[in-house]
Amino acid sequence: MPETLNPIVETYSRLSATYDEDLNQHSCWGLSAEKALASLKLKDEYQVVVDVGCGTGRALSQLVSKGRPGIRFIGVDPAERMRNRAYERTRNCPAVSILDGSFEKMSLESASVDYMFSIFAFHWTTDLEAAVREISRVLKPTAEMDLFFIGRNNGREFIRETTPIFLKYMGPALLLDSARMRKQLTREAAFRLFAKTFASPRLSVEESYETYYDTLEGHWGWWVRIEGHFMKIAADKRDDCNHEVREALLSLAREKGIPYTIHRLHVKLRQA
Amino acid sequence: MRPQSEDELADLIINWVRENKQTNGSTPVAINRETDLLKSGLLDSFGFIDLIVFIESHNGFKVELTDVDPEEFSVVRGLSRIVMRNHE
Repeated sequence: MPETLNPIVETYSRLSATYDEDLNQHSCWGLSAEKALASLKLKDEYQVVVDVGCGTGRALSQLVSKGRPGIRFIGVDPAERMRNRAYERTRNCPAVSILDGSFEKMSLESASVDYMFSIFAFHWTTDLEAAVREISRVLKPTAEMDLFFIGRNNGREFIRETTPIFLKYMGPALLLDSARMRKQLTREAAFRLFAKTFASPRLSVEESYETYYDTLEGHWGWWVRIEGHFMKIAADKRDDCNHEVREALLSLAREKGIPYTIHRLHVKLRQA
Repeated sequence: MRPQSEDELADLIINWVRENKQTNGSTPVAINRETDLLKSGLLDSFGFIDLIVFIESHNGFKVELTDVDPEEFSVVRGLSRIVMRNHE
């Protein structure tokens, strides 16, 4: 997928320089990503481990430090500047390669991967069916996998309060186009999608809901960057829209802060 | 099976929303032709995508949303009117 054709990829590439800053790492996404990463276990039999949507290589570099010698680690990401940072971060690790690619198209040999993981990237997939076919192509028949991504009800507090505002500033057509940029599945839909290719005894899909509380600025720092709506609002209306959205988010504030609930799906593939 | 009137389409939308609403729980959903589906929290933007897909597949024609009034779009009666205009 050419980088310039996908606004999400473009945005991530543009933001690569600030991606690892504290504001992002201490946000609900940073904390949730750390939890997902901490749950990953590298087994002795893995020879090739792939992180799809590796971003700046943060997860990959942590896993490398825990892995036994001999494992080959590959990071795949469509955003050029994110890949550059991943490359810089792992340049002293000869076991790591960083490749251009996405879930839909990976420059990997068929049946070559023992373990694939991904943390909060699969929902940006542009073609779900193609992505699952490509995953299936590159995995060995005995491979294992952990994909973490957001589910259908993610961020429902924010969405409920702000969608009427975005509708006002964008109109229905752009609002729905923007929502279509993310593939937010229910647990059942995710299972049906992967079950077309992977047999159910090996496949399972879990879901969880976790609410994170933060200040307005804490949430704003990450949310404005990833929320597709913001990219489609006319420049002359953006300030007014931002003001209304901030007021709406402030109205959600509780004693602990402003809540944001991450609906996380976890697609697991294990050996039979 | 296309709805013959705006009211018939509005009832179709109301029934679909009752089955596919975003809110949880078993309390009855208060919805009528004047309900704003977004402000009431019954649907979010993803729910609207599903609703439009349902309307299009049920009616057999595409719903054009460019240049549509946002206030009209999010209310059951307004959305019915938009869809019927598309059909004319």
